Amino acid sequence: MSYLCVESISKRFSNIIAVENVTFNVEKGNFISLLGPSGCGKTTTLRMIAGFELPDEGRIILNEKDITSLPPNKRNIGMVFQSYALFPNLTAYENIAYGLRIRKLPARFIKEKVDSLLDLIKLTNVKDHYPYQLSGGQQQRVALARALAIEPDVLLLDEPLSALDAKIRVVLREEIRELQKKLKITTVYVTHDQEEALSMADLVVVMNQGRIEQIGTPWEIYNNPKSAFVANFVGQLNSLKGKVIDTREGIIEVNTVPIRSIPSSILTANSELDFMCRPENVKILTRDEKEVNTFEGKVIKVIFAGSIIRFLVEWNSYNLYIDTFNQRVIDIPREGERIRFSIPPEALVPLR
Amino acid sequence: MAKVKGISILEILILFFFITYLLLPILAIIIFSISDTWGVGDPLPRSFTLKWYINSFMNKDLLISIGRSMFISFISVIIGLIIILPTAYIVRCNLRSLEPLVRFFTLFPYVLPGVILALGLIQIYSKPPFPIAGTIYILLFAYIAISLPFMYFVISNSLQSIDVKTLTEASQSLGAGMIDTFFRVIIPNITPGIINASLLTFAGLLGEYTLVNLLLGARFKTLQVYLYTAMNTEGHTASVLTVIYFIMVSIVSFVVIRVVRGIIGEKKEIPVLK
Repeated sequence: MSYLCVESISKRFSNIIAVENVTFNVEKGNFISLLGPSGCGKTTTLRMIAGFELPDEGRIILNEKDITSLPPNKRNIGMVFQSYALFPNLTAYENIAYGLRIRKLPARFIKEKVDSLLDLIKLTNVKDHYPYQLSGGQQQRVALARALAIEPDVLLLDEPLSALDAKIRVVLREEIRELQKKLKITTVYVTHDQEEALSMADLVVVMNQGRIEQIGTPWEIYNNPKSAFVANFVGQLNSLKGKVIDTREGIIEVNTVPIRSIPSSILTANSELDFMCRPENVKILTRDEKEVNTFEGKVIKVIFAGSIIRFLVEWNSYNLYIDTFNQRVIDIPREGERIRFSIPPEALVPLR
Repeated sequence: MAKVKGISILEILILFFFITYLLLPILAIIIFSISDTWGVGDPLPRSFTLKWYINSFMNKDLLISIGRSMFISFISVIIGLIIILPTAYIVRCNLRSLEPLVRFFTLFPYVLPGVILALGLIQIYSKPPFPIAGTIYILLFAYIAISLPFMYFVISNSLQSIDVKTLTEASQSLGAGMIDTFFRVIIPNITPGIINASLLTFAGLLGEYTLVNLLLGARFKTLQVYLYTAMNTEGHTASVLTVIYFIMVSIVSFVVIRVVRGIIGEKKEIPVLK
């Protein structure tokens, strides 16, 4: 049995279904991310694990104990909130010590523990500051240390970085993941930011309208999305409508243009399917390069994003996104120019 | 326009008239309380004396009524806080949909005219289980009732200024129950509101006259009843009482604010580090 088991939980708020039949397992020491747009039920799911909401149906098992209806203060689950939720009347030090004082632990132990945590989050120099004297990033680090101080069985994070600047977000993202690995703490992380989920988690649970769309490693979620929703939500996407012509060879037809894809059991004769193709998998070709599925299109937009250059290319009544790395030696095609590109067969992923 | 240290003359004038308007009556009362002979047409008294004060402080009756007023107002405030603080917290935290209803109910004693309130209180408290009409206890119940609305509004406003629900959840996730959370997190964060509510209620109750008069008449004199009687007999004594009342309220405010600051600790300003 897994360490944390969420077993077909559902939650309704006055006739609005917030969470419907959600099931997933987290192994001990793993980092799992609940990913989805706002209102998809990810936060409600997290709050049910924390004990702030009671599921209408289903069970939550932690370490082989049913904790479904246990009050939040009896669960030993640490939580980090989007709004930090530091106690304004307490200093950084006292905020971290709070849970230990509630447990009436010996003063010496508390001091050692809090000092080591302050050291871990590199904020010893501001330990006597009140929350209002700390920056957002510092506040969230203190909140993290406060949740870790009680040595929780599970650490829950509810969009902890969404109130921070982009730069600090990336720094803290790495810090959190590093701490989590170091302390081997089982973590559930809620976010609507796909980059955050993909870069941090061992396992990603993509949710939509209260239900789970797909569970998988970041690699699986990104490269083999099971549904159009997942494909669209995670990363940029070109979506093509294709008619299967040859099941053995994997030939499909997009607006009468034949394209070769990888044969699979999903491709049944004459069926119409949605195919996705990631912009970075489409390859821009030089004048005389020859590849499978080579086409020509007109560049209608060039978006320069530093390390990556994104082209919007008109082809076969579709507007395709094509990404390429910014290599300073190559000539960047300009708007209005015609370019040659290829869609490798393995880049075309059929969606159910 | 001419400016003195960045403030225009017009602003100074407005401020001057406003302060004069507020202070003049108080000043007049203070002067009258130490005046000896003050003839018609004299801008200021011809001679001064402290005999009105000495007379007042020699009067045991008066001292008892001052003590009584302070005592009953103090007890009412304390009981009011004990009732309102947990109620406002629970409503704000768990029963937010009930908030308008609670506000409506707490307004009841506020909107009822004193006479109706007094009659109702006498009716309820003249038979068992609370046969306390005519005793000082009925005043206590009346005072608690009339101070609830104001206390509730001030305290529920302070609760609105902090994120009660999330702070409670944070505290719970760290292992604290409702009681620990209430005393360690909620109360310290709304202390200014509690002080405000207490002081204003206390001052208001010290100055209450209608209910005392209707519920107890002359049986238990409070400061206000004494003041009222004095006003009809001896103007100087009334001025003395007003000054005493004024000083009492100021001292109480000062002491409470100092004590509470000592408890919650003054937050030192430290520049934010990035």
